[in-house]
Amino acid sequence: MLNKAPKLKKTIRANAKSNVNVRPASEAMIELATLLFLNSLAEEAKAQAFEEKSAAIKAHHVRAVTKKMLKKARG
Amino acid sequence: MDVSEDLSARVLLKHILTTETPRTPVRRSASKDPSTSGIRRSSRQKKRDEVQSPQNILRRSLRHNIRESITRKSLPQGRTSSALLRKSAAPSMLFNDGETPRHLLKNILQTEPRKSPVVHEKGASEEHELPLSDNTVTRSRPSIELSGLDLPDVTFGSVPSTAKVLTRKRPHRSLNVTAFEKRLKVGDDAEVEIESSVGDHSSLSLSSSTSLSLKTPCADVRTEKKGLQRRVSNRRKITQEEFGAAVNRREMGGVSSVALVERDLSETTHSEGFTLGLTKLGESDITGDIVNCNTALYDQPHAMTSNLSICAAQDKSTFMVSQHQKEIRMMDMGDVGQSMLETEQFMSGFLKKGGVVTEAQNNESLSGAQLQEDADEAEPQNLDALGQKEASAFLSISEDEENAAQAPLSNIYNRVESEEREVETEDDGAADFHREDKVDEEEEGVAGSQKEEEEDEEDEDEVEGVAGSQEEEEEEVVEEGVAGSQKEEDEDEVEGVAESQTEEEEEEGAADSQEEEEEEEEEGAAESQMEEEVVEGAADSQEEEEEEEEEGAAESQMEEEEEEGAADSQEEEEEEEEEGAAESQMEEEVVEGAADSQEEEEEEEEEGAAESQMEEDEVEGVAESQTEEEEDEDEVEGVAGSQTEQEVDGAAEFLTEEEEEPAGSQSEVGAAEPQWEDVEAGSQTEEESVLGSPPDKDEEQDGRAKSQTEENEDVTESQTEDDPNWKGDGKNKRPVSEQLERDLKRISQRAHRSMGALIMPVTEMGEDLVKPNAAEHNPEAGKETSFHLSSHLSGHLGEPPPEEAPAQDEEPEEWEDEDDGEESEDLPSKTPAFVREKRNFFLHDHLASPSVIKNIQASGATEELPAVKPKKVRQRKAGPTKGEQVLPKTYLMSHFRHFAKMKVSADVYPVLNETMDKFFGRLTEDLETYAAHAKRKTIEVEDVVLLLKRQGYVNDKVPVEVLIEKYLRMEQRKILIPCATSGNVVIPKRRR
Repeated sequence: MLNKAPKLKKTIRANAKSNVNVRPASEAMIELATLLFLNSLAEEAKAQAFEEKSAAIKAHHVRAVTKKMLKKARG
Repeated sequence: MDVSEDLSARVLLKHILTTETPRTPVRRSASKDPSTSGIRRSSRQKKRDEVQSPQNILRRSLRHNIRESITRKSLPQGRTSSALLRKSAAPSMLFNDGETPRHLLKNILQTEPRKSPVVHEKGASEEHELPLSDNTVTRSRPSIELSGLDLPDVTFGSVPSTAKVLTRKRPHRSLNVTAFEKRLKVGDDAEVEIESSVGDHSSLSLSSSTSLSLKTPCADVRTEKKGLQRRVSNRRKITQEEFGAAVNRREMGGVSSVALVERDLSETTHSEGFTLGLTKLGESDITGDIVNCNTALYDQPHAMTSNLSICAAQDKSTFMVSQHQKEIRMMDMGDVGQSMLETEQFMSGFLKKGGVVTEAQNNESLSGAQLQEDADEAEPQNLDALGQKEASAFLSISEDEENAAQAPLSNIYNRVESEEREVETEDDGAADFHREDKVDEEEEGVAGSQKEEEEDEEDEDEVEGVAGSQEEEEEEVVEEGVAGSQKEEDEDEVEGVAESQTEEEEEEGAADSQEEEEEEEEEGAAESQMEEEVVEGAADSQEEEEEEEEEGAAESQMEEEEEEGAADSQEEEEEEEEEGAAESQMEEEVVEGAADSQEEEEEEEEEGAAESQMEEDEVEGVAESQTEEEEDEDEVEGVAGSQTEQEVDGAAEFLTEEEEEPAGSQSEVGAAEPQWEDVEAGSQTEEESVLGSPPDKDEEQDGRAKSQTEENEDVTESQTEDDPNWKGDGKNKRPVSEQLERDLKRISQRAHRSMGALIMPVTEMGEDLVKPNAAEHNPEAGKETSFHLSSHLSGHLGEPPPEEAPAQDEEPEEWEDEDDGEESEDLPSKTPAFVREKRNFFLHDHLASPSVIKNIQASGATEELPAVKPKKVRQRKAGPTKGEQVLPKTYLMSHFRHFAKMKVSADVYPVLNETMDKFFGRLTEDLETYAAHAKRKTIEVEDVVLLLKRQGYVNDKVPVEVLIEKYLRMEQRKILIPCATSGNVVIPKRRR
């Protein structure tokens, strides 16, 4: 299991429209935000899977929850 | 112990007591006097067990005792056996056997008494005997043999009476040992005796098991004898097939070889002088032995030869290794198509060798001699370094020898022209002859080592076979076990006349050599080198060349030449010419950048296949004849000719290679490529030379030529036509531009000689210059001969496409790189990365117009995409992501599974990845906005905290610290959450 999210800073810098610097501490915080988002997404997908009485989370479960979670993730 | 034995005996049977007591002291006193107490104990213990327990116990005890006795008694018995063996004067091998037989005898004696009482009393003795026999058989062959021999004796003694048995046993032992030894020595006689004895014993009432054991020993004896002989026999066995072929061929050429050998010896002695004559005379056997050793060592020789080759290579230089590798590659490349020819060559080589081998076999008894020969071989290798130095002195003498050898080679080559097989064999012979010369002259040990290396390579690539047909042939000869020396001798014998002729030719002068060269392209090259060297008057270069020639392997020569310098390059060029156009390319490469072994290797690999093909195919003869004609002219001029030939060959080769690479339609491109090369060659080669990266030159040229050809696709059709013309022009150019080229070459060669590898660029420049000239001349004259050469080359080269294929792959990549570089150059450096990326995209689209370029660029774009992220981002924004991952799959899925706490199907990942892409886009946008709002360009922790607050993860009930401690690792927590350390120091420092 990969513990560290690799290339997070690189990803942020690539996504940024302007030239942005990211401190190591803020990178850790970004990882935290990512993990929180993943966690909430997983929770929602899990709930969706339970609703459909599915033993496993499948793609359509995640896809159904994605929109809601992304909307919730707006800053 | 004795008391216990007595007690046990008392308890059991009086018969046993009577029998055992007398036997034990007698045996121990007689045979076991030297033996240790432990042995006695074991025997006594056995007796105890027997006495104490019934037959079952006796069986157990017998088994244990036999095992123990075998293990323990080996040493003391060995002493006695050694004495006996000494009396018999048996070799060292017998000692071991004697020890085992003694053990067996003792065991048998110990067991026998037990049996004997049983026999006397009951028929159970047979039962006991059975396990014993089984044990002995399973335990060890020698023991079985001994036991078998001893058993009959024991049985004899037991049957009549114990006392008699005891008395008889002593003499029987001695007699047995001697008989064993004799049997081992004689073998057949011993077997007969054993059989007779077995029959007697069996008749005497011993169980079938005993008879079986007796029989087995006979077989064991044979095996042992074989084992003794195995060293030689195995070696021979390895070459059995070869021997078979050789034997068949012995009849064919054996007679001629024998008659010729004497001639050769005389001739060689005359030409070479005392050293060669002596060496050949004395070495003939030695060589045979060496051959045998080589054959025998086939399995092992790799390591041995490899070691030797490594040493030699180290001494010589890395070039050797690289060349060897190249050769190996070449071998691999051309093995498939050449396997047929190789097989034929091998056969011929085997036949020739066969005669030698037969002789060697006659001398096979001289295994020790073979070992000595091996040592001798090793010595020359060791002496390679010194040998080289010494070689200079010897070279003067050896030069004559070499010249003689070369002359026979030339003769041989002539024969080869007449008959390919003969030629191949002759080539082998020539190579062998060189080897022999080397072997004879340990001075040339380096060459020998090179040959050995080649042989090693050949051994490795035995299947490969042909690439360097000559080298391979040599190797094959060595492999065949005919010790190149024998073959060489045979060849020398066969070639003896040729040698005399060659000697005469040498005496006559360069003219003859030139003629020979013309006639014998390959050999001619070597000779031409010699002649050229003579003409040049550079003794050093001659020596080097001679050494190289002696080495026989053109590649090895090439390597050495490269090391040596310009003179070597000339020689190499000549050799390459001999080898074929492909080799000429190698030479050119060497001349261009000898330092770049990689390029050479690559070219050599490709060329190797081509060369082997060329050699195999008599077509080479034609091409060579043409080249030879040119060479003749060049020879008059000097080395320049060879260079020109090389250049022409190289150009032709390049053309052919290029054509081959693309295949049918691509051939046109290939034709275009050479033209472009010619046009651009000057600048490109110059650039390359300036860069000092010659290996890339060919590729770069090819890539540029390809790109140009692609751009000028319209011209491709005419280019194909131009190709032959160009080739012909290239050849024609030589005469036209020969003077210039010669001058340049001479200068370059001289410079190479003096400077060495550093001057390479100059030669390259000269060649480049010549090439454009040739291009200019191309339209003027396209000779049919040149066409033939090109066609032949192309045909031959067509065989090794696999090698070229990778080269093609590499070329487009390079081209892409170049394009990228150009694009990057075109873009203003000031523009940000993402802007560049945008422009790159547009540029790619625009550039895509040409079909070929489109393909290449498309591939390049696909390759570039993963590397560059900004593209990804835009693609993401533009549309659905194309499998680009923001986070690695393992990370995403593992964490998702962790958070979901339930099964997650694998198909979730694409959706998850897409979601995360969007998430990161929004996250980045938000954070950037926050930082910008705070008039910062750096995203701080508070920005992320604010985001989390707005997302609802952080609220009054859940502070950030809780989330950090819950989701982040310790190292991250240390960064984010201040912690007081010793001295009330808070890390990290609280802001504010």
